Amino acid sequence: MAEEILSFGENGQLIGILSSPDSPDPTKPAVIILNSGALHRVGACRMAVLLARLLSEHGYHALRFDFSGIGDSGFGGGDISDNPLEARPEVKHAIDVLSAKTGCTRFVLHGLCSGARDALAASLIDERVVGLSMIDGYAFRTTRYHLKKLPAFLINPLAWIHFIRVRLSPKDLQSQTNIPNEILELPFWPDYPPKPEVENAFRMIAERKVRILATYTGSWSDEYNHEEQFFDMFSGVDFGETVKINFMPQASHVMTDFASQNTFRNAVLAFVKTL
Amino acid sequence: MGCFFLPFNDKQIFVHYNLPVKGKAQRAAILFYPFGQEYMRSHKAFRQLANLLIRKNFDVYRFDYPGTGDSTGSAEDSLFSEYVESGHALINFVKQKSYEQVHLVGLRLGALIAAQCFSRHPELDHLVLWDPLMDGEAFFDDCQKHSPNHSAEETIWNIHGYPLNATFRAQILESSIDRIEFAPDQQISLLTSSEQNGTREIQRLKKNVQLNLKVVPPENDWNYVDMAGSILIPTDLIREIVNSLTNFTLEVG
Repeated sequence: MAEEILSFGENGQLIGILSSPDSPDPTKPAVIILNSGALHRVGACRMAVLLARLLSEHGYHALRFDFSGIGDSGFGGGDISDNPLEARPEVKHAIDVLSAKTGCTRFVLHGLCSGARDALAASLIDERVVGLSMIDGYAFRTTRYHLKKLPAFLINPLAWIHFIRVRLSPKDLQSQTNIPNEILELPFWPDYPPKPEVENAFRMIAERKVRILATYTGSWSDEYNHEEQFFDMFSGVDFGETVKINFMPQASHVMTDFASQNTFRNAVLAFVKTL
Repeated sequence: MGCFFLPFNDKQIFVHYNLPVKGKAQRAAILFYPFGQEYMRSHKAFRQLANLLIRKNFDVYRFDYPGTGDSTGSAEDSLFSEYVESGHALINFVKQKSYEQVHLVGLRLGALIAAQCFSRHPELDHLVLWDPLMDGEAFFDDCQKHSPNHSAEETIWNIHGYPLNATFRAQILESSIDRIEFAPDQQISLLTSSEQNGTREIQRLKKNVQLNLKVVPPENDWNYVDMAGSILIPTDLIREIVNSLTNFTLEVG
């Protein structure tokens, strides 16, 4: 396994680390790991680094990089659209440089939270994307979600307090830090688009047979609380056999426990091997 | 701006450098990250600090310790001594560039590491201790406070998702600002969130050190873990660090 630093994109302002296998095979898909929120390409609990190295030890190229204004990438040229289903241009730059560098023609996009949403958006406009690995991506409550949730409310009054507190928490970084944006140097992430639009996005990639590993953790229990909820959320989409659900209620959003970290990395590796 | 891997023993440490906005820098700053979760939360703050320093004509170097960030090595096997030695390796690299001034800035555990490096390089000009952990005990107390239920018998501790092995723990317990000897003309600035802590910390530094103390009220808790591992950018404190480096003059005793 070898690693090299890549500088790419407009004016070479995007920084990434490419982990490459000892015996590269361009017929295998390459994996691109996207930023989560404002966290840089290393990932919470060094997850992106360890995932990239695991993948490369098993024969896959893996690129982790920073969006504009995140980590070590330059700022500017990567404004986030108001529509989260509109792809960020940096992802295409990453696919292009990885394609040129490795000869790979198929790509898997991996992301946590906002990274999961960015991965979906990018897959809509780039047919080179053949797989998505999304942790705590889009989630919409369903009837069955509420039915499962109801007993907890009835027997645990603290659940009501948490419910209220979460609803009142500030959503964006500027309000949390009180820092003007010209110093904060961060764009902001828009709210979810309407569910029908998200469902239509999944329909588009399902038609292309893009495979999905959908991981939901216990931290997402406010929106997602049972394994098969994904299919209920997007019941209008015929996914066929393209979706693998990885429900990890014991894990936190950033997977601070070692067992979950290990389980998750192996789940991604197993998923990529199916492509 | 650029990045490179610096060879270090059988590993590589990832180094990021920022060059000044205009001209060639006569001064350099090397930034020392804190541990684990705090590293992630402070990465943006370090970037902001670097962005402001390059506007004051500094070259700025930031690096990942072995087994952390993008450096090679596994976190489970990393040693505190390697963290310190990797700092030396980068200092020796930077010294070859013949800057007029070289400053070290360390946050939390990074401050303790930077202090160790600073003492071994009496030719370096200035050290900034930013909310420092003054010894291994303080680091342990922090670990126990935020990730309780660890016993000495456990081989690996889990500190907010980051492993801490027994040898690392033993090494850091032996580390203390009290035991560090600084050269008489080396200057240290202490930026801390608490006047009480600052006073106590100053008393622990050797009396022959030239010290500046600045207290900046805290904006948040470095160890707080929310759902998304949110970043922290303490802008007031960052500006104080920039001022401290920019206005630094070597005082000849």
